[in-house]
Amino acid sequence: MAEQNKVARARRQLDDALAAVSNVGDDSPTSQPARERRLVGAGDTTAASQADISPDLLRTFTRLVVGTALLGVDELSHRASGWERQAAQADAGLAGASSTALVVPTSAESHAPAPAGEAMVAPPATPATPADSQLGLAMIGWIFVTHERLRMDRNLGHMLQAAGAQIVNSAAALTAESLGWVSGGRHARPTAAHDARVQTWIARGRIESRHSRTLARAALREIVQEVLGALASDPGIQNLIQSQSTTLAGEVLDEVRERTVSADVYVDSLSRRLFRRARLSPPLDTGASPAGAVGALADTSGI
Amino acid sequence: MIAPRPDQRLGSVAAHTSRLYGTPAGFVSRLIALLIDIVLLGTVLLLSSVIWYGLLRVVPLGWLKAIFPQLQALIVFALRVVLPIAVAIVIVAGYFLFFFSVTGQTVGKRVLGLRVVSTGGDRVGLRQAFVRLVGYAISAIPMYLGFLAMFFDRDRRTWHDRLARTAVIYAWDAQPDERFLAHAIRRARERPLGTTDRPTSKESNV
Repeated sequence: MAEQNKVARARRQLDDALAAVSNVGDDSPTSQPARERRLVGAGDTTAASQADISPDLLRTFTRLVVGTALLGVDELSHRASGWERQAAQADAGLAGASSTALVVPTSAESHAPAPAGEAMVAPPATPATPADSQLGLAMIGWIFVTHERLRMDRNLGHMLQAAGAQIVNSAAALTAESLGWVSGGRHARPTAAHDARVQTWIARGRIESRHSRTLARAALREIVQEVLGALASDPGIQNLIQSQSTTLAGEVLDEVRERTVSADVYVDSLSRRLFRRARLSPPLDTGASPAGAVGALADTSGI
Repeated sequence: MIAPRPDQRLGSVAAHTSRLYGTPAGFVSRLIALLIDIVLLGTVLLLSSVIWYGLLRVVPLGWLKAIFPQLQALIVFALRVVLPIAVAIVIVAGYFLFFFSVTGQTVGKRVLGLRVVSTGGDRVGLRQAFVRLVGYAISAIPMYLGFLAMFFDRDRRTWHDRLARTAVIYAWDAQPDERFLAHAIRRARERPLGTTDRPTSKESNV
Protein backbone atom coordinates (compact mmCIF):
# COMPACT_ATOMS: atom_id res chain seq x y z
CA MET A 1 0.00 0.00 0.00
CA ALA A 2 2.77 2.36 0.95
CA GLU A 3 4.68 1.47 -2.18
CA GLN A 4 1.64 2.24 -4.31
CA ASN A 5 1.44 5.66 -2.73
CA LYS A 6 5.12 6.24 -3.49
CA VAL A 7 4.60 5.22 -7.09
CA ALA A 8 1.58 7.48 -7.42
CA ARG A 9 3.49 10.38 -5.93
CA ALA A 10 6.43 9.81 -8.21
CA ARG A 11 4.11 9.65 -11.21
CA ARG A 12 2.53 12.95 -10.25
CA GLN A 13 5.96 14.55 -9.91
CA LEU A 14 6.94 13.23 -13.31
CA ASP A 15 3.76 14.61 -14.84
CA ASP A 16 4.45 17.99 -13.31
CA ALA A 17 7.96 17.98 -14.65
CA LEU A 18 6.78 17.08 -18.15
CA ALA A 19 4.16 19.79 -18.00
CA ALA A 20 6.81 22.27 -16.97
CA VAL A 21 8.93 21.24 -19.94
CA SER A 22 6.05 21.67 -22.35
CA ASN A 23 5.29 25.14 -20.98
CA VAL A 24 8.81 26.50 -21.34
CA GLY A 25 8.16 27.71 -24.88
CA ASP A 26 4.64 28.83 -24.22
CA ASP A 27 4.15 32.56 -24.70
CA SER A 28 0.71 32.86 -23.18
CA PRO A 29 0.47 35.62 -20.59
CA THR A 30 -0.93 33.36 -17.97
CA SER A 31 1.93 30.94 -18.17
CA GLN A 32 4.71 33.49 -17.70
CA PRO A 33 4.88 33.68 -13.90
CA ALA A 34 4.53 29.96 -13.56
CA ARG A 35 7.34 29.47 -16.02
CA GLU A 36 9.55 31.87 -14.12
CA ARG A 37 8.91 29.99 -10.92
CA ARG A 38 9.70 26.74 -12.60
CA LEU A 39 12.89 28.15 -14.03
CA VAL A 40 13.94 29.38 -10.64
CA GLY A 41 13.24 26.05 -9.03
CA ALA A 42 14.60 23.88 -11.78
CA GLY A 43 17.43 25.98 -13.11
CA ASP A 44 19.89 23.12 -13.20
CA THR A 45 17.61 20.38 -14.33
CA THR A 46 17.71 18.97 -17.80
CA ALA A 47 14.29 20.28 -18.65
CA ALA A 48 15.21 23.85 -17.81
CA SER A 49 18.58 23.65 -19.58
CA GLN A 50 16.97 23.37 -22.99
CA ALA A 51 16.46 26.64 -24.83
CA ASP A 52 13.41 27.31 -26.90
CA ILE A 53 14.26 26.58 -30.50
CA SER A 54 10.91 27.38 -32.07
CA PRO A 55 11.35 29.55 -35.17
CA ASP A 56 11.58 33.20 -34.23
CA LEU A 57 13.78 35.40 -36.37
CA LEU A 58 14.10 38.23 -33.88
CA ARG A 59 14.99 35.91 -31.05
CA THR A 60 17.52 34.09 -33.19
CA PHE A 61 19.03 37.41 -34.15
CA THR A 62 19.19 38.40 -30.50
CA ARG A 63 20.87 35.12 -29.70
CA LEU A 64 23.38 35.70 -32.49
CA VAL A 65 24.23 39.13 -31.16
CA VAL A 66 24.48 37.92 -27.60
CA GLY A 67 26.42 34.81 -28.57
CA THR A 68 28.87 36.78 -30.68
CA ALA A 69 29.43 39.19 -27.84
CA LEU A 70 29.94 36.32 -25.43
CA LEU A 71 32.39 34.61 -27.75
CA GLY A 72 34.26 37.87 -28.07
CA VAL A 73 34.40 38.29 -24.32
CA ASP A 74 35.51 34.67 -23.93
CA GLU A 75 38.29 35.14 -26.45
CA LEU A 76 39.35 38.41 -24.89
CA SER A 77 39.43 36.95 -21.41
CA HIS A 78 41.36 33.94 -22.68
CA ARG A 79 43.91 36.14 -24.37
CA ALA A 80 44.04 38.48 -21.41
CA SER A 81 44.95 35.61 -19.14
CA GLY A 82 47.72 34.68 -21.57
CA TRP A 83 48.98 38.24 -21.60
CA GLU A 84 48.91 38.34 -17.85
CA ARG A 85 50.91 35.11 -17.76
CA GLN A 86 53.50 36.52 -20.14
CA ALA A 87 53.76 39.71 -18.14
CA ALA A 88 54.16 37.70 -14.96
CA GLN A 89 56.93 35.65 -16.51
CA ALA A 90 58.67 38.77 -17.77
CA ASP A 91 58.39 40.36 -14.35
CA ALA A 92 59.67 37.18 -12.75
CA GLY A 93 62.66 37.27 -15.08
CA LEU A 94 63.36 40.87 -14.19
CA ALA A 95 62.90 40.12 -10.52
CA GLY A 96 65.31 37.21 -10.81
CA ALA A 97 67.91 39.41 -12.46
CA SER A 98 67.51 42.11 -9.87
CA SER A 99 67.55 39.65 -6.99
CA THR A 100 70.88 38.31 -8.15
CA ALA A 101 72.21 41.85 -8.31
CA LEU A 102 70.78 43.02 -5.02
CA VAL A 103 71.99 41.28 -1.92
CA VAL A 104 69.80 43.02 0.65
CA PRO A 105 66.18 41.91 0.35
CA THR A 106 63.45 44.44 0.49
CA SER A 107 60.91 44.58 3.24
CA ALA A 108 58.25 43.13 1.03
CA GLU A 109 60.49 40.20 0.24
CA SER A 110 61.21 39.66 3.90
CA HIS A 111 57.54 39.50 4.66
CA ALA A 112 56.81 37.22 1.77
CA PRO A 113 59.88 35.12 1.05
CA ALA A 114 59.60 33.46 -2.27
CA PRO A 115 62.03 32.31 -4.93
CA ALA A 116 62.73 34.81 -7.64
CA GLY A 117 61.04 32.77 -10.31
CA GLU A 118 57.96 32.28 -8.20
CA ALA A 119 57.52 35.82 -7.01
CA MET A 120 54.89 36.53 -9.56
CA VAL A 121 52.48 33.74 -10.13
CA ALA A 122 49.71 34.08 -12.63
CA PRO A 123 46.31 33.91 -11.04
CA PRO A 124 44.51 30.64 -11.63
CA ALA A 125 42.16 30.72 -14.51
CA THR A 126 38.60 30.93 -13.35
CA PRO A 127 36.27 28.46 -14.99
CA ALA A 128 33.62 31.08 -15.57
CA THR A 129 34.25 33.98 -17.87
CA PRO A 130 33.33 37.52 -16.81
CA ALA A 131 30.27 37.31 -18.98
CA ASP A 132 29.06 34.37 -16.93
CA SER A 133 28.84 36.33 -13.70
CA GLN A 134 25.53 36.66 -11.97
CA LEU A 135 25.05 40.14 -13.28
CA GLY A 136 25.87 39.12 -16.82
CA LEU A 137 23.58 36.14 -16.70
CA ALA A 138 20.82 38.28 -15.28
CA MET A 139 21.26 40.80 -18.07
CA ILE A 140 21.21 38.12 -20.71
CA GLY A 141 18.13 36.57 -19.18
CA TRP A 142 16.52 39.98 -18.95
CA ILE A 143 17.12 40.54 -22.63
CA PHE A 144 15.29 37.40 -23.61
CA VAL A 145 12.53 37.73 -21.05
CA THR A 146 11.99 41.29 -22.19
CA HIS A 147 11.93 40.15 -25.75
CA GLU A 148 9.22 37.64 -24.98
CA ARG A 149 7.22 40.11 -22.95
CA LEU A 150 7.46 42.58 -25.78
CA ARG A 151 5.82 40.06 -27.99
CA MET A 152 3.01 39.69 -25.49
CA ASP A 153 2.60 43.28 -24.33
CA ARG A 154 2.45 45.75 -27.15
CA ASN A 155 2.76 48.71 -24.80
CA LEU A 156 6.43 49.24 -25.27
CA GLY A 157 6.73 52.30 -23.04
CA HIS A 158 5.28 50.69 -19.97
CA MET A 159 7.26 47.58 -20.54
CA LEU A 160 10.56 49.33 -20.94
CA GLN A 161 9.95 51.56 -17.97
CA ALA A 162 9.15 48.70 -15.65
CA ALA A 163 11.91 46.49 -16.96
CA GLY A 164 14.45 49.29 -16.83
CA ALA A 165 13.64 50.17 -13.25
CA GLN A 166 13.78 46.56 -12.27
CA ILE A 167 17.07 45.87 -13.97
CA VAL A 168 18.67 48.97 -12.52
CA ASN A 169 17.60 48.09 -9.01
CA SER A 170 18.61 44.50 -9.41
CA ALA A 171 21.93 45.39 -10.99
CA ALA A 172 22.68 47.76 -8.16
CA ALA A 173 21.83 45.11 -5.62
CA LEU A 174 23.91 42.51 -7.44
CA THR A 175 26.84 44.86 -7.73
CA ALA A 176 26.70 45.74 -4.07
CA GLU A 177 26.50 42.10 -3.19
CA SER A 178 29.38 41.08 -5.41
CA LEU A 179 31.53 43.92 -4.05
CA GLY A 180 30.75 42.90 -0.50
CA TRP A 181 29.17 46.16 0.50
CA VAL A 182 27.17 46.01 3.71
CA SER A 183 23.54 46.58 3.00
CA GLY A 184 22.12 46.14 6.39
CA GLY A 185 20.83 49.67 6.69
CA ARG A 186 17.32 50.67 7.28
CA HIS A 187 16.82 51.59 3.64
CA ALA A 188 18.77 48.68 2.29
CA ARG A 189 17.29 47.13 -0.81
CA PRO A 190 16.57 43.44 -0.89
CA THR A 191 19.48 41.46 -2.28
CA ALA A 192 19.33 39.56 -5.48
CA ALA A 193 19.15 36.26 -3.71
CA HIS A 194 15.75 37.23 -2.49
CA ASP A 195 14.56 38.56 -5.77
CA ALA A 196 12.75 35.79 -7.55
CA ARG A 197 12.59 37.80 -10.73
CA VAL A 198 16.35 38.25 -10.88
CA GLN A 199 16.81 34.58 -10.18
CA THR A 200 14.52 33.90 -13.09
CA TRP A 201 16.66 36.07 -15.31
CA ILE A 202 19.80 34.38 -14.10
CA ALA A 203 18.38 30.94 -14.81
CA ARG A 204 17.19 32.05 -18.20
CA GLY A 205 20.51 33.76 -18.90
CA ARG A 206 22.41 30.60 -18.08
CA ILE A 207 20.38 28.67 -20.63
CA GLU A 208 20.46 31.36 -23.27
CA SER A 209 24.14 32.13 -22.93
CA ARG A 210 25.03 28.51 -23.58
CA HIS A 211 22.66 28.25 -26.50
CA SER A 212 23.69 31.63 -27.89
CA ARG A 213 27.34 30.66 -27.80
CA THR A 214 26.67 27.47 -29.71
CA LEU A 215 24.47 29.28 -32.18
CA ALA A 216 26.96 32.08 -32.75
CA ARG A 217 29.84 29.64 -33.13
CA ALA A 218 27.97 27.66 -35.76
CA ALA A 219 26.81 30.79 -37.55
CA LEU A 220 30.24 32.39 -37.54
CA ARG A 221 31.86 29.23 -38.82
CA GLU A 222 29.38 28.97 -41.65
CA ILE A 223 29.60 32.64 -42.50
CA VAL A 224 33.38 32.60 -42.50
CA GLN A 225 33.45 29.56 -44.73
CA GLU A 226 31.00 31.13 -47.13
CA VAL A 227 32.93 34.38 -47.20
CA LEU A 228 36.18 32.56 -47.82
CA GLY A 229 34.56 30.50 -50.52
CA ALA A 230 33.15 33.61 -52.16
CA LEU A 231 36.52 35.33 -51.96
CA ALA A 232 38.31 32.32 -53.36
CA SER A 233 35.92 32.02 -56.27
CA ASP A 234 35.78 35.72 -57.03
CA PRO A 235 37.81 36.40 -60.19
CA GLY A 236 38.62 39.92 -59.05
CA ILE A 237 40.17 38.67 -55.83
CA GLN A 238 42.01 35.96 -57.70
CA ASN A 239 43.41 38.48 -60.13
CA LEU A 240 44.42 40.73 -57.28
CA ILE A 241 46.25 37.96 -55.46
CA GLN A 242 47.89 36.79 -58.65
CA SER A 243 48.97 40.27 -59.66
CA GLN A 244 50.38 40.96 -56.21
CA SER A 245 52.29 37.68 -56.23
CA THR A 246 53.56 38.42 -59.71
CA THR A 247 54.55 41.92 -58.70
CA LEU A 248 56.40 40.67 -55.66
CA ALA A 249 58.23 38.00 -57.66
CA GLY A 250 59.05 40.57 -60.31
CA GLU A 251 60.46 42.97 -57.74
CA VAL A 252 62.63 40.25 -56.26
CA LEU A 253 63.81 39.26 -59.72
CA ASP A 254 64.61 42.85 -60.61
CA GLU A 255 66.59 43.22 -57.42
CA VAL A 256 68.59 40.08 -58.17
CA ARG A 257 69.24 41.26 -61.68
CA GLU A 258 70.37 44.68 -60.54
CA ARG A 259 72.77 43.11 -58.09
CA THR A 260 74.22 40.83 -60.71
CA VAL A 261 74.61 43.68 -63.19
CA SER A 262 76.38 45.70 -60.51
CA ALA A 263 78.63 42.75 -59.82
CA ASP A 264 79.27 42.49 -63.55
CA VAL A 265 80.33 46.10 -63.70
CA TYR A 266 82.53 45.78 -60.66
CA VAL A 267 84.22 42.59 -61.85
CA ASP A 268 84.66 44.10 -65.28
CA SER A 269 86.40 47.15 -63.88
CA LEU A 270 88.68 44.95 -61.83
CA SER A 271 89.54 42.76 -64.77
CA ARG A 272 90.20 45.79 -66.92
CA ARG A 273 92.70 47.00 -64.40
CA LEU A 274 94.38 43.66 -63.94
CA PHE A 275 94.57 42.66 -67.59
CA ARG A 276 94.74 46.16 -69.03
CA ARG A 277 91.84 45.37 -71.26
CA ALA A 278 90.03 47.94 -73.29
CA ARG A 279 86.56 49.05 -72.35
CA LEU A 280 83.48 47.40 -73.71
CA SER A 281 82.40 48.12 -77.19
CA PRO A 282 79.90 50.94 -77.10
CA PRO A 283 76.52 50.46 -78.68
CA LEU A 284 76.29 52.46 -81.83
CA ASP A 285 72.77 53.66 -81.19
CA THR A 286 73.55 55.47 -77.95
CA GLY A 287 77.15 56.36 -78.41
CA ALA A 288 77.94 55.70 -74.81
CA SER A 289 79.75 52.83 -73.29
CA PRO A 290 77.31 50.53 -71.56
CA ALA A 291 79.40 49.71 -68.62
CA GLY A 292 81.58 52.65 -69.33
CA ALA A 293 79.24 55.10 -67.71
CA VAL A 294 79.40 53.23 -64.47
CA GLY A 295 82.85 51.94 -65.23
CA ALA A 296 84.08 55.49 -65.55
CA LEU A 297 82.89 56.05 -62.05
CA ALA A 298 84.88 53.04 -61.00
CA ASP A 299 87.90 54.31 -62.93
CA THR A 300 87.81 57.72 -61.38
CA SER A 301 87.41 56.09 -58.02
CA GLY A 302 90.73 54.42 -58.38
CA ILE A 303 89.58 50.86 -58.74
CA MET B 1 82.07 43.60 -82.70
CA ILE B 2 78.49 42.91 -81.81
CA ALA B 3 75.80 44.43 -83.89
CA PRO B 4 74.41 47.40 -82.09
CA ARG B 5 70.70 46.91 -82.31
CA PRO B 6 69.68 43.41 -81.43
CA ASP B 7 66.35 44.73 -80.20
CA GLN B 8 65.41 45.84 -83.67
CA ARG B 9 66.72 42.74 -85.34
CA LEU B 10 64.98 40.49 -82.89
CA GLY B 11 61.80 42.44 -83.15
CA SER B 12 61.80 43.37 -79.50
CA VAL B 13 60.13 46.32 -77.94
CA ALA B 14 61.76 49.53 -79.02
CA ALA B 15 61.33 50.94 -75.56
CA HIS B 16 64.37 49.01 -74.37
CA THR B 17 66.79 51.77 -75.02
CA SER B 18 68.72 51.87 -71.78
CA ARG B 19 72.48 51.90 -71.84
CA LEU B 20 72.95 48.29 -70.86
CA TYR B 21 70.22 46.77 -72.94
CA GLY B 22 71.76 44.83 -75.78
CA THR B 23 75.29 45.11 -74.47
CA PRO B 24 77.42 42.07 -73.64
CA ALA B 25 76.55 40.50 -70.34
CA GLY B 26 79.11 40.30 -67.58
CA PHE B 27 80.79 37.38 -65.93
CA VAL B 28 78.66 37.19 -62.79
CA SER B 29 75.35 37.21 -64.60
CA ARG B 30 76.48 34.55 -67.01
CA LEU B 31 77.93 32.43 -64.25
CA ILE B 32 74.75 32.55 -62.19
CA ALA B 33 72.65 31.80 -65.24
CA LEU B 34 74.81 28.80 -66.02
CA LEU B 35 74.59 27.60 -62.43
CA ILE B 36 70.81 27.83 -62.56
CA ASP B 37 70.81 25.74 -65.73
CA ILE B 38 73.16 23.23 -64.15
CA VAL B 39 70.99 22.92 -61.06
CA LEU B 40 67.88 22.53 -63.16
CA LEU B 41 69.40 19.93 -65.42
CA GLY B 42 70.98 18.15 -62.49
CA THR B 43 67.61 17.87 -60.80
CA VAL B 44 66.00 16.46 -63.91
CA LEU B 45 68.81 13.99 -64.45
CA LEU B 46 68.80 12.96 -60.81
CA LEU B 47 65.08 12.27 -60.83
CA SER B 48 65.36 10.44 -64.13
CA SER B 49 68.18 8.28 -62.87
CA VAL B 50 66.32 7.46 -59.69
CA ILE B 51 63.30 6.36 -61.70
CA TRP B 52 65.37 4.41 -64.19
CA TYR B 53 67.50 2.55 -61.67
CA GLY B 54 64.42 1.91 -59.59
CA LEU B 55 62.82 0.28 -62.60
CA LEU B 56 65.93 -1.78 -63.25
CA ARG B 57 65.86 -2.95 -59.67
CA VAL B 58 62.21 -3.92 -59.86
CA VAL B 59 62.15 -5.47 -63.32
CA PRO B 60 63.95 -8.85 -63.40
CA LEU B 61 66.64 -9.20 -66.05
CA GLY B 62 67.28 -12.90 -65.64
CA TRP B 63 65.33 -13.77 -68.77
CA LEU B 64 68.03 -12.09 -70.86
CA LYS B 65 70.35 -14.94 -70.02
CA ALA B 66 67.96 -17.46 -71.59
CA ILE B 67 67.49 -15.48 -74.78
CA PHE B 68 70.93 -13.89 -75.20
CA PRO B 69 73.31 -16.06 -73.21
CA GLN B 70 76.36 -14.43 -74.78
CA LEU B 71 75.13 -10.86 -74.70
CA GLN B 72 73.47 -10.75 -71.35
CA ALA B 73 76.30 -8.94 -69.59
CA LEU B 74 76.64 -6.52 -72.47
CA ILE B 75 72.94 -5.72 -72.47
CA VAL B 76 72.87 -5.23 -68.75
CA PHE B 77 75.88 -2.93 -69.03
CA ALA B 78 74.14 -0.99 -71.77
CA LEU B 79 70.99 -0.64 -69.74
CA ARG B 80 72.80 0.40 -66.61
CA VAL B 81 75.56 2.61 -68.00
CA VAL B 82 75.41 3.40 -71.68
CA LEU B 83 71.74 4.17 -72.00
CA PRO B 84 71.56 6.51 -68.98
CA ILE B 85 74.62 8.39 -70.21
CA ALA B 86 73.20 8.64 -73.69
CA VAL B 87 69.87 9.85 -72.39
CA ALA B 88 71.62 12.38 -70.17
CA ILE B 89 73.60 13.68 -73.13
CA VAL B 90 70.44 13.92 -75.19
CA ILE B 91 68.64 15.77 -72.41
CA VAL B 92 71.45 18.24 -71.85
CA ALA B 93 72.10 18.80 -75.53
CA GLY B 94 68.43 19.03 -76.33
CA TYR B 95 67.91 21.54 -73.55
CA PHE B 96 70.57 23.91 -74.78
CA LEU B 97 69.89 23.39 -78.48
CA PHE B 98 66.20 23.99 -78.03
CA PHE B 99 66.47 27.11 -75.96
CA PHE B 100 69.40 28.60 -77.87
CA SER B 101 67.74 28.17 -81.22
CA VAL B 102 64.13 28.92 -80.30
CA THR B 103 64.25 31.72 -77.75
CA GLY B 104 67.93 32.40 -77.24
CA GLN B 105 67.32 32.09 -73.53
CA THR B 106 67.73 29.08 -71.34
CA VAL B 107 65.88 29.10 -68.05
CA GLY B 108 68.87 30.51 -66.20
CA LYS B 109 69.48 33.16 -68.80
CA ARG B 110 65.82 34.09 -68.76
CA VAL B 111 65.90 34.53 -65.01
CA LEU B 112 68.94 36.77 -65.25
CA GLY B 113 67.60 38.60 -68.29
CA LEU B 114 70.26 37.42 -70.75
CA ARG B 115 69.94 36.30 -74.32
CA VAL B 116 72.20 34.53 -76.77
CA VAL B 117 72.31 36.22 -80.16
CA SER B 118 74.51 35.91 -83.16
CA THR B 119 77.10 38.59 -83.69
CA GLY B 120 74.95 39.96 -86.45
CA GLY B 121 72.13 40.50 -84.00
CA ASP B 122 69.97 37.72 -85.40
CA ARG B 123 68.60 34.74 -83.59
CA VAL B 124 70.93 31.83 -83.10
CA GLY B 125 70.40 29.08 -85.61
CA LEU B 126 70.48 25.39 -84.87
CA ARG B 127 73.94 25.02 -86.31
CA GLN B 128 75.25 27.91 -84.27
CA ALA B 129 73.60 26.45 -81.22
CA PHE B 130 75.29 23.13 -81.82
CA VAL B 131 78.69 24.74 -82.33
CA ARG B 132 78.18 26.75 -79.17
CA LEU B 133 77.29 23.60 -77.28
CA VAL B 134 80.42 21.86 -78.48
CA GLY B 135 82.27 25.02 -77.62
CA TYR B 136 81.14 24.66 -74.01
CA ALA B 137 83.18 21.49 -73.80
CA ILE B 138 86.14 23.09 -75.54
CA SER B 139 86.01 26.03 -73.14
CA ALA B 140 85.74 23.78 -70.12
CA ILE B 141 88.50 21.31 -70.94
CA PRO B 142 91.54 23.57 -70.31
CA MET B 143 90.63 24.42 -66.73
CA TYR B 144 87.67 26.52 -67.88
CA LEU B 145 90.08 28.88 -69.53
CA GLY B 146 87.63 29.35 -72.35
CA PHE B 147 85.08 30.82 -69.96
CA LEU B 148 87.65 33.11 -68.38
CA ALA B 149 88.60 34.39 -71.81
CA MET B 150 85.83 36.94 -71.53
CA PHE B 151 88.02 38.92 -69.16
CA PHE B 152 90.48 39.48 -71.98
CA ASP B 153 87.91 40.32 -74.60
CA ARG B 154 86.47 43.78 -75.00
CA ASP B 155 83.14 42.26 -76.00
CA ARG B 156 83.15 39.80 -73.11
CA ARG B 157 83.13 36.86 -75.46
CA THR B 158 84.22 33.41 -74.47
CA TRP B 159 85.72 30.73 -76.66
CA HIS B 160 82.37 29.16 -77.40
CA ASP B 161 81.04 32.57 -78.29
CA ARG B 162 83.81 33.05 -80.76
CA LEU B 163 83.46 29.56 -82.19
CA ALA B 164 79.73 29.94 -82.76
CA ARG B 165 79.92 33.64 -83.56
CA THR B 166 77.45 34.42 -80.86
CA ALA B 167 77.27 36.78 -77.91
CA VAL B 168 75.34 36.94 -74.68
CA ILE B 169 73.64 40.26 -74.12
CA TYR B 170 71.41 41.88 -71.55
CA ALA B 171 67.86 41.43 -72.75
CA TRP B 172 66.22 43.66 -70.18
CA ASP B 173 66.37 47.24 -69.05
CA ALA B 174 69.53 46.56 -67.12
CA GLN B 175 70.53 49.09 -64.50
CA PRO B 176 73.22 48.53 -61.93
CA ASP B 177 72.40 48.96 -58.29
CA GLU B 178 74.07 52.25 -57.41
CA ARG B 179 74.20 51.53 -53.69
CA PHE B 180 75.85 48.17 -54.26
CA LEU B 181 78.34 49.71 -56.64
CA ALA B 182 79.10 52.61 -54.33
CA HIS B 183 79.72 50.18 -51.50
CA ALA B 184 82.05 48.12 -53.68
CA ILE B 185 83.93 51.24 -54.77
CA ARG B 186 84.28 52.40 -51.20
CA ARG B 187 85.72 49.06 -50.19
CA ALA B 188 88.08 49.08 -53.14
CA ARG B 189 89.33 52.54 -52.17
CA GLU B 190 90.14 51.26 -48.74
CA ARG B 191 92.19 48.46 -50.29
CA PRO B 192 93.88 49.80 -53.43
CA LEU B 193 95.23 47.22 -55.80
CA GLY B 194 98.02 49.22 -57.38
CA THR B 195 98.14 51.07 -60.61
CA THR B 196 95.10 52.79 -61.93
CA ASP B 197 93.81 51.73 -65.28
CA ARG B 198 93.17 54.78 -67.33
CA PRO B 199 91.71 54.46 -70.80
CA THR B 200 94.26 54.99 -73.52
CA SER B 201 93.69 57.35 -76.34
CA LYS B 202 92.82 54.42 -78.56
CA GLU B 203 90.19 53.22 -76.13
CA SER B 204 88.80 56.68 -75.76
CA ASN B 205 88.22 56.85 -79.45
CA VAL B 206 86.21 53.67 -79.45
